[in-house]
Amino acid sequence: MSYEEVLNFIKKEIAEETKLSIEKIDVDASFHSLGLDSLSAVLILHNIEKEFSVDLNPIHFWDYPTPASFTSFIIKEHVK
Amino acid sequence: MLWSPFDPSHIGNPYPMYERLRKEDPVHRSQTGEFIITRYTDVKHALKSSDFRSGNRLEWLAHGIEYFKNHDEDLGNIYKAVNSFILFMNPPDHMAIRNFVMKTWDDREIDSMITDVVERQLQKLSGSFDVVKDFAQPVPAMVICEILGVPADEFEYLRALGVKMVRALDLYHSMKELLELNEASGQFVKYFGDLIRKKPKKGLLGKLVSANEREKFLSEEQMISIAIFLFIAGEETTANSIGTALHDFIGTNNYQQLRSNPNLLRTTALEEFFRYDGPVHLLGRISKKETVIGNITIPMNSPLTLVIAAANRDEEEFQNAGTLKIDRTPNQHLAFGYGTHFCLGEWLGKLQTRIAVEKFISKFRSAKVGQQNIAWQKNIAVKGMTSLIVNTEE
Repeated sequence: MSYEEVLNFIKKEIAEETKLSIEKIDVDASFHSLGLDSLSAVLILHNIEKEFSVDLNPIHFWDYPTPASFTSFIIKEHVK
Repeated sequence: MLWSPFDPSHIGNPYPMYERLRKEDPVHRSQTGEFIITRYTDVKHALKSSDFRSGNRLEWLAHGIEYFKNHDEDLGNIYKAVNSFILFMNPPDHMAIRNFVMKTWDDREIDSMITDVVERQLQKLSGSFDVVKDFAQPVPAMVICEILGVPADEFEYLRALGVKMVRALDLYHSMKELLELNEASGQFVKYFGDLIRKKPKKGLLGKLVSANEREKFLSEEQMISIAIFLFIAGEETTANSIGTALHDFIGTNNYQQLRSNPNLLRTTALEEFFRYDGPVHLLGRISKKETVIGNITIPMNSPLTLVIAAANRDEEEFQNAGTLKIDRTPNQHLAFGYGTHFCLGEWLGKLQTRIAVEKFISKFRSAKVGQQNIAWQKNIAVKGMTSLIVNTEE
């Protein structure tokens, strides 16, 4: 699992939730400003857990609140 | 990150995190967007002020059910189970339903029934055993079954559901937890629905059903939800009280002191345990209008998390707040809430915890616990252990 792979998956998930086009998603923008809330967070976390077999808790999403920082966190967790 | 309740080191001991919050940012805007309130005066104010309403979780779950329905996931059982959880409700329904339950619940002479249940369980225990699984958990489940009029041999089935159901009170949920909660909700709704439709004669449930026949006050769906609420509120929190109280007393000088002077439990020691380590850590509120706490402006409709377990260790209110001082007085802790939502089963939780701890301490002249023998639940709103192995001598 590479950084690019995870980031692209997260961008795709955000695009589906927010109807933004993938190209328009700023990877350093906060999830809040991209239009995600605590419910879309539950769904996206769930899809990430399934896709990459990682174990995340519901706060992680907001601890690393941008697509780029969250991707780095998942890569780090995966290596552990 | 100041607010990190899932950090593995905070699951068993969140108090250092609470202390930092209280000292560094007592009205903390967390990364998830809600305000985390940790000072005694602020928490008490939010509990008694009419500027705040209850029901964060109920509103969130209701939105969630709609949202997930649009994503092909039916979580509708959750709402059926929790729609009339009294602690989620607001005026005028809250008082009406609360009063209906309170006036119907007229049989409070239950000391001897509780003592029987406790002694029956204690008889089975000696040497090394799991005080949570074999004592703290079954006792309140059996007691609440007896009170509600539910067949006693079904307590294990209901308890297993209760463990999952109590997550409805927690602050954050993963999809997996929501699915489990939905499953447990469905089973609870079916269980109590079947029972209520049979018009039970026994226990508090029987009384509620017949009072409702006369007054036509509650719908069947509300009645089912109230039954589920009474079960899990009576059972999960008390299991955690008994387990944690024994954990805190065992292995300290307090154990021998309580053994030689059990009356302390009736006067100050139990109150002090609830202040120091009571099971309910977090309560939710929503601001009804723009308001100020400390010197922080809270916008209208903001979710607040009131950390009553942090307020109860506020040095401004309690000297040596981090010490369990079994003769502490006065002790105006907030472990059972404050104001209109003050826990309606407070007397029952205290009564059971007192009898359970009293009988345990009187049976075992010594008890020891090792750090590696403790396992904690992952809940952050209602705290407790899943296992605690103790070595005892009679």
